[in-house]
Amino acid sequence: MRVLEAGLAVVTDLGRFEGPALGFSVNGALDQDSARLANILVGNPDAAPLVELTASTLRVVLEADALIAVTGAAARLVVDGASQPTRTPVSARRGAELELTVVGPGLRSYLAVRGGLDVPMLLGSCAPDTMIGFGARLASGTSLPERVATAPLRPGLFPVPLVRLDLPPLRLGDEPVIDVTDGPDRSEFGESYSALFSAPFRVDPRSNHVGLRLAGPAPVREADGEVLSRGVPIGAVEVPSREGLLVLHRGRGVTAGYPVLAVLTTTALDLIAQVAPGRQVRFRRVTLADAQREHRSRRARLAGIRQRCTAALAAHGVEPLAGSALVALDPLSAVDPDDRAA
Amino acid sequence: MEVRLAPSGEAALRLTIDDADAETAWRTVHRIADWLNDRPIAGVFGGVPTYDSMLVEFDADRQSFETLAPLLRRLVREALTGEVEGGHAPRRFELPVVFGGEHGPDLGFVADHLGLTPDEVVDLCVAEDRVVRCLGGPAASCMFDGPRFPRPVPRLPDPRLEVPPGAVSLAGVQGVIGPVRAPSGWRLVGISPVAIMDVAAPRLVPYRPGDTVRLRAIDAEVWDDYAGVSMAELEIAS
Repeated sequence: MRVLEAGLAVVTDLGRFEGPALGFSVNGALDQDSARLANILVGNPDAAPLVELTASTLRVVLEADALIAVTGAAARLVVDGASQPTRTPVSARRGAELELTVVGPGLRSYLAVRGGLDVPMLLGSCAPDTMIGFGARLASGTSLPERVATAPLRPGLFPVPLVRLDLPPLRLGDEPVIDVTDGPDRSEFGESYSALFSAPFRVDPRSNHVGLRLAGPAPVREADGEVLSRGVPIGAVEVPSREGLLVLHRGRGVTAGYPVLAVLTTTALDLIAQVAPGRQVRFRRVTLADAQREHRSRRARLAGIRQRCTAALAAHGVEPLAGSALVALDPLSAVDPDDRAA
Repeated sequence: MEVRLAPSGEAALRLTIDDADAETAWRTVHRIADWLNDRPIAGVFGGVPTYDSMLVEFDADRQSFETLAPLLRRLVREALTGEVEGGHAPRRFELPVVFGGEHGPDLGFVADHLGLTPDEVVDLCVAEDRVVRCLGGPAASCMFDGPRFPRPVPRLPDPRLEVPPGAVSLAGVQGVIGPVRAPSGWRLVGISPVAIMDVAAPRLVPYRPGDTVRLRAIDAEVWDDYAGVSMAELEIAS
């Protein structure tokens, strides 16, 4: 595809998982569940490169017949002037102009193309790393070669969904609830830990893929003394000042010297990536077992959707990606097929 | 020696070595991290070791704190008795640095704080090899033990929005060489004209924990002589 108008868009994937051990941030799609879902809807491996569009409009011309899907924040998808559904696979012809606008609720929408996009990789991932200057925002004129062409599945005039999945839209509510488990340094905050759960926090505009600043009455560290630099998890809640909190997201530097008060669940990390600056959130304390259960049930749900999609696409004559088309998207598929199915 | 394991969300845990001398704790966490990174375990992304602790990140769909804790406890025991092989032969680098002036605007502050002259501070910086303790954020920054100063160096009250690549900074009892342009709250004492990072190299930066770096003071006038030189070329004999 060729970009006509880029908005705030990057090509990314699930992240650079080799990075942290080498001192680099993991990065990758901030709403992982939505990114996985977009890829699943078009029959890609979960980790295929796709477009992450933040609170803006992207216009592209397709340079090959394509099967696409949009997930994440509520978005308006228009193909050659005709409105098309999101959260379901959509066929579009070569030369079609595709306009995607994030309308919300939510901040970040994902656009996947069957076969993925051909982009440079670093340490096994295409995810942009703003610190080392790898990857780039899309700009007008950027060309993103599709790896695979997918002939139109339904040439008819009626916009009937190819697969009836009835996936619910993203819901945020007035005050999204952000689940956290206790952090490893919780005891340094004593009784004041409860302040985290007693009032809402407002998302500051100085928030991005590295971290979100949240304004509100923060817990106070009782211990003093310097903390030696140590590895900090994605989702770490830190208290750099009295005025608020810092929540680290996927662009975080891998080490820091602040105590970790609490850690967002993977579910909450996806959710907070969709909360616009100025909105309020409320923290809720959950157990590690709850967080694990939630994580696994969300992945099981995605596995179920993958099964239904694969079957529906096959019924339209779209075979699963295989051979070099698959290996290029997912190097692990060549060595570890049984693991992948798990 | 006590091993403390603490969940850090459902997809990570922190391993801390308590009640050991700093050198033993550091050696142990790095040995375990090397072991993990050399022998990948399904669903474990790897370890981020620093001084006395290591973050282990994993896929919460396939691993959990409960499944990994016994393995990590065993690895620590074996690392202590030398059964865990890990690591690599240490390498030694020499890094030219322009100290002070526009390249090291905090050199004067550091000298004043310590009751030394700027030249004495530089002498202490270049006096001995610095062990690379860990690769930190952002972008595999080279974290090393600070010079033998009489007292710790306080951080900046207001962090700089950015320092250039090659910045050599000090804070507390630590020092850091930054491979990329980045914000920093540490005291900037000098800059190296050499390219630290090479995105085409397998690990992007030449140093690993356990390697040593010898800083060498150069004059600002010879900065341009180092155009196109990368740190990887500056390995010297141990």
